Amino acid sequence: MTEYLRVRLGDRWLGLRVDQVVEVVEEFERLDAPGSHPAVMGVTPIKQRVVPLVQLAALIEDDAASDTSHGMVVLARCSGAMVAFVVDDAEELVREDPRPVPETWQLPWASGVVQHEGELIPIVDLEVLAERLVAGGAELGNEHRR
Amino acid sequence: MNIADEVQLVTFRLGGHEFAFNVFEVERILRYEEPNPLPKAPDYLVGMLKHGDEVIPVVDLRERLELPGSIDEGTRIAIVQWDDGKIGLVVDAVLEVLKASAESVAAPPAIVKGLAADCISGILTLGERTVILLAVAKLLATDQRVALRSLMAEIRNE
Repeated sequence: MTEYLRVRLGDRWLGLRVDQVVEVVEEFERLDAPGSHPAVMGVTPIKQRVVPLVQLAALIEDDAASDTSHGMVVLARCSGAMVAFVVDDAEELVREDPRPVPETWQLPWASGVVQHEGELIPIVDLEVLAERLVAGGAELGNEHRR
Repeated sequence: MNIADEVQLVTFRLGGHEFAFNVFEVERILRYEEPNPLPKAPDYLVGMLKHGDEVIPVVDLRERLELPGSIDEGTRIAIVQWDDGKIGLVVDAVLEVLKASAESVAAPPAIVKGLAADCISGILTLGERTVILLAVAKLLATDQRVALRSLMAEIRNE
């Protein structure tokens, strides 16, 4: 059984694989990073790294990031790099085996779905999102330090 | 520029001057929250701050570097790696993250004297901007380091 962290974007819930989540942070400093992917709101210095601060909603919708710096941040490993995803809320874990995404759902960024309290929650494929970020000009850095 | 020759710096303002830490030393930036004062603490130690599961000593960098400053909306506490633990450093504002070639960071000139000289690890000049790089490990004088280590050990043993 796989564990997922439930995150909220507006009125929608998504799942992130817990083994990819490093930490949930309630406070973050947003510093400018001009010329990056539209979903990148800036960067934040955290855990001895400079980590891109990405609005998850904007990235999955391929939309420009709105100017929000509230909410919370889920620090996650994404294609060998650390990325800070801004979400509205992060809640309890869901322990469930993933199922395939229903064929009628157009969610190219989802690797599957899990059921929680009668609802199907899409699981975010962070590798797909990392590709989007890199294709859009974001610099993800890597895990190496010092 | 080769990544190995590049430094990433978190710049901040302190008493009207621009300073920086290497990002490798920065754990987190927090909005200023008044630390819990410690009775009979030295002037540079403004108190203790609960951060996650840890209690972290907070040092006022302005006091340490003898610079003026006040608490306002921009004030932050930078949590940095220090010794085998962490300390919080009060700064006026965090400005940006910048990358610079290691070559562009010059050694501090010999003319720099005084209490703060030991903790300056380099000077970065960017056009008309001058950024002073601080070495976290050397921010405190030897006696201050010893006192703080002993305090942190006490906290860990409580």
